[in-house]
Amino acid sequence: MSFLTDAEAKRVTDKLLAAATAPETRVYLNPSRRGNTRFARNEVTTSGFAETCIIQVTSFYGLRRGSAQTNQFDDASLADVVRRAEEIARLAPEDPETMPVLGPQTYTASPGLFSADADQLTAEYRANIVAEALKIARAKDLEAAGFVQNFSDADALATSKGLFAYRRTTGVVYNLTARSKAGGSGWAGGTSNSVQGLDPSSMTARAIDIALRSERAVALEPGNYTVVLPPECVADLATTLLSGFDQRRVDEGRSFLSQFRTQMAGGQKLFSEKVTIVSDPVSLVAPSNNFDEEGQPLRRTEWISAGVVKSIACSRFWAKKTGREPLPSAENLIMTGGTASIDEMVASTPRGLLLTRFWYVRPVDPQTALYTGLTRDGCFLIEGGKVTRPVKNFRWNETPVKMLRNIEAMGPTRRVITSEQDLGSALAFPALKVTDFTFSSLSDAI
Amino acid sequence: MQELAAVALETARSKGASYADIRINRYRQQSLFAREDHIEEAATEERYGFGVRVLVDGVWGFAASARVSKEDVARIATEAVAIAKANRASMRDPVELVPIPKAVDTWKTPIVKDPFQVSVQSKADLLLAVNAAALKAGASFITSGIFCTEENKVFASTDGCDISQVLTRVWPLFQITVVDKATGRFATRDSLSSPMGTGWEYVEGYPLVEEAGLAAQQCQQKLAAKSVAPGKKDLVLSPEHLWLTIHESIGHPTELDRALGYEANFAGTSFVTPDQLGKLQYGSPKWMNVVADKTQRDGLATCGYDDDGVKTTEFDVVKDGRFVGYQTIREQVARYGKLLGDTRLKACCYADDFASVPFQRMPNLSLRPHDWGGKKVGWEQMVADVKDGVLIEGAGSFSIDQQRFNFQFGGQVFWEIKNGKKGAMLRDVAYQARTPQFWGSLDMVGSPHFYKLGGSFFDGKGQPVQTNSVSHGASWCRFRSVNVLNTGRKI
Repeated sequence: MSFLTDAEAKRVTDKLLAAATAPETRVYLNPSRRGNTRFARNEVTTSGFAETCIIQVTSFYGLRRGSAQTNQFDDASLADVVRRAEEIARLAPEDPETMPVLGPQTYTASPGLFSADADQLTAEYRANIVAEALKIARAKDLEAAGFVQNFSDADALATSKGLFAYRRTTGVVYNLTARSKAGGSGWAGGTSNSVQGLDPSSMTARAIDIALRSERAVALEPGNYTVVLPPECVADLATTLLSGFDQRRVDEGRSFLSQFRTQMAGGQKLFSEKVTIVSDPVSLVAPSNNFDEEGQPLRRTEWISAGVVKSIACSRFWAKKTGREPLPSAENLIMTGGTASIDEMVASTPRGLLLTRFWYVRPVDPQTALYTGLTRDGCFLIEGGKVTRPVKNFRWNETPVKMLRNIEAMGPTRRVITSEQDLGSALAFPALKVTDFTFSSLSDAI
Repeated sequence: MQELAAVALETARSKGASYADIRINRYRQQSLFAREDHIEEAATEERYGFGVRVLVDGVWGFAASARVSKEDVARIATEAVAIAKANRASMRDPVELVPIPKAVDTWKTPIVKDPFQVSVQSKADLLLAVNAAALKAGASFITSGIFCTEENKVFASTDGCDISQVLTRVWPLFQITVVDKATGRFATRDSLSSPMGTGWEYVEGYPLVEEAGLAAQQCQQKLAAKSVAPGKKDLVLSPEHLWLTIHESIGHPTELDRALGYEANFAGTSFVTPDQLGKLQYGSPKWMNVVADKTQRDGLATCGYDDDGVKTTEFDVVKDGRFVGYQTIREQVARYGKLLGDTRLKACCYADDFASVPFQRMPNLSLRPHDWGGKKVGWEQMVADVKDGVLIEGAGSFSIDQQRFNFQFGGQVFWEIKNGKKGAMLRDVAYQARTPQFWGSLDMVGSPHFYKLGGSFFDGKGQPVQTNSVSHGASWCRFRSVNVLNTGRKI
């Protein structure tokens, strides 16, 4: 059951739809295989493999709607999940926002989403990545901890109006932290949809290099600094903007974008003209899903172009109510980059900070998109265009709106993982040099 | 069920495992959400499957499947052994397990009313009543919801354990937003209710409708409230606020796996290093006593046995301000118990799914209320001795560093305290502190009359991230001279 071809998935969705008695039904299947290996204190700690599945049925009786989920594929379980969905749908009060299920749609294939090498990845492959990292860490008298994960998913969606959508996705994720006895700590990580697209050795080398260079950090006064942010930090903060890019929230006055309605209507810039952010399922750098949970096709969308907000996601219900076209939310984000290297950004900075990654990024005020978080695993002082010494970590309080206004230089765009994601997120961002970033207090954490 | 368990354990043993266990789990969840005047989501979910964990030459292997048959159990047990063997080359110290009592037992969350037996209509009626009360009181928007969950768990091991448990939890909640069309500003207020390890009786006993009305009024007050003047101030914190501060600044730093570096790559390590056990002055000697308890009534982490098959218990973490005990699991007792001088089995092992690897997770962990000899001591008694302070109700924004030193917390409602009196509402408040200094500034703990459990369904840790449900209890508390920030910005 772990894997279903499109024909097999169609047989299951047909079976579920045939068992349905509700006027409209939508079904979703998601079988998956996941393997992972963790290491810490320079040895493997746990390692696991799991095959699971989600089978979800949503039943519609006019404006009444309800859903049920199971993970069992036998005929009795399939019949039962349909029965439970119909039972809860009939009991649910009418929801005036209920939209009918969609009929057949046309999807653009996203060829980079699946690769056979990642689909067939083994525990031995993961063990080899770990063995190499541990060998180098031990040789340098460092302590390494990390994680390798692979996954292979199928997603199938079908409706009683004849929609059928199917895709396969694979991914590999690797990240590690190397720590030294003299208080150094370095991190590196990445993700790819294919084994070929991942370079674990370079990540291991990077984490170890940062660990050795960040030893004996000194305290620096908190305050506002020019920062050189690697793509991971930029992604961490820039992706938080997404929750505000919702047309209903904007119209209702509860998005940070609500205060800029006049400027947006007039095509004024809200961000630096250097900022262009798109989503595009067929991107080869960070490919994404090509249909959403309702079966709407996902297409290339410019969210911000040269600093101007170009698109805001809009649900089918809100689009109908307000006379707009529906626009599904982004499933990947790609920010156009520049050509400056990190070294060049440092060289042009009289005084500032070079960071490695952020940690524990959380919202403080949705009105201003203010977030707080910390630096982690390598924070360096830049003086006179050179990295001069490691400094202790900081807590920061900052809004991505300001970050995307105060850009002085941009690096090339590359695929990244954010600080709290396991599975391969589809994000590609450049490094940025940003002025006036607000660090509010010191952290003693290493 | 026993036949399936026998297949798993026999297969693992025959392939070379020195230890094996199987968890065969069934999960149920029901959720309803209401937006303004209508139900926007009604959903039910069931998951079923098993996970087999094996120890081969001192290395763990794990595999799991939702396909529950004898053939699949044998296949998955074989896979778990193969995974353990693949990792043998990277082993440094083989895992050992201390002996545990052979448990053949059943356990259930003590509930009065099964939440799954309460009709969908009753639940929908409650949420719509909550929303109506909020809208009537001036809310622009409200989303309310109810979660009901059940974990039905069977655990069997080569140590002879055979344990069946049923864990029930409920969570009623809402979030209100008020938009001021004149200024374009908006404010939110979340319910102060908490998820609980109990039955529907908690939902029936919680005044969610009344609170929704009050919250809508407070939300409007927030928009007109004075922006806080930053600086050092005394804080008077409610139990509904403090649970999260306890969780982040005491719960996570006192996990032994973090302290030793097992979570260094993601969740982080801890400033509470093993050499400080029994020595570290964590906080105020007079006021700070913290207890971990997986047997606590209504606790989200409460159960009869952990996922190692160890019977749950209660133990001190901080006594008279001094750090005295880590949270641990079975394998840590064998490897580190003698070194630490603490060989008690503390039953802190948990996996959030049949397909997840069990590892160390936080038990319910609470700040003991102070014994005032029967006298009621709450915020009023604390405020009386504050010249310049802030009283905070409810949990809000939260962030803490990877060693749990530097934290920043917000809240739901903030009140100015001036010259011994609780005054007007404030906005734009957050406080920042360093954990040992903060707990050292604790100078008053309320009486048991005000003790309440708060908690989370979604405490994240591990790679891949697993969620843990955990409760934290406290009475009102007062802290002196804490750094208060103004979070107001213009963009």
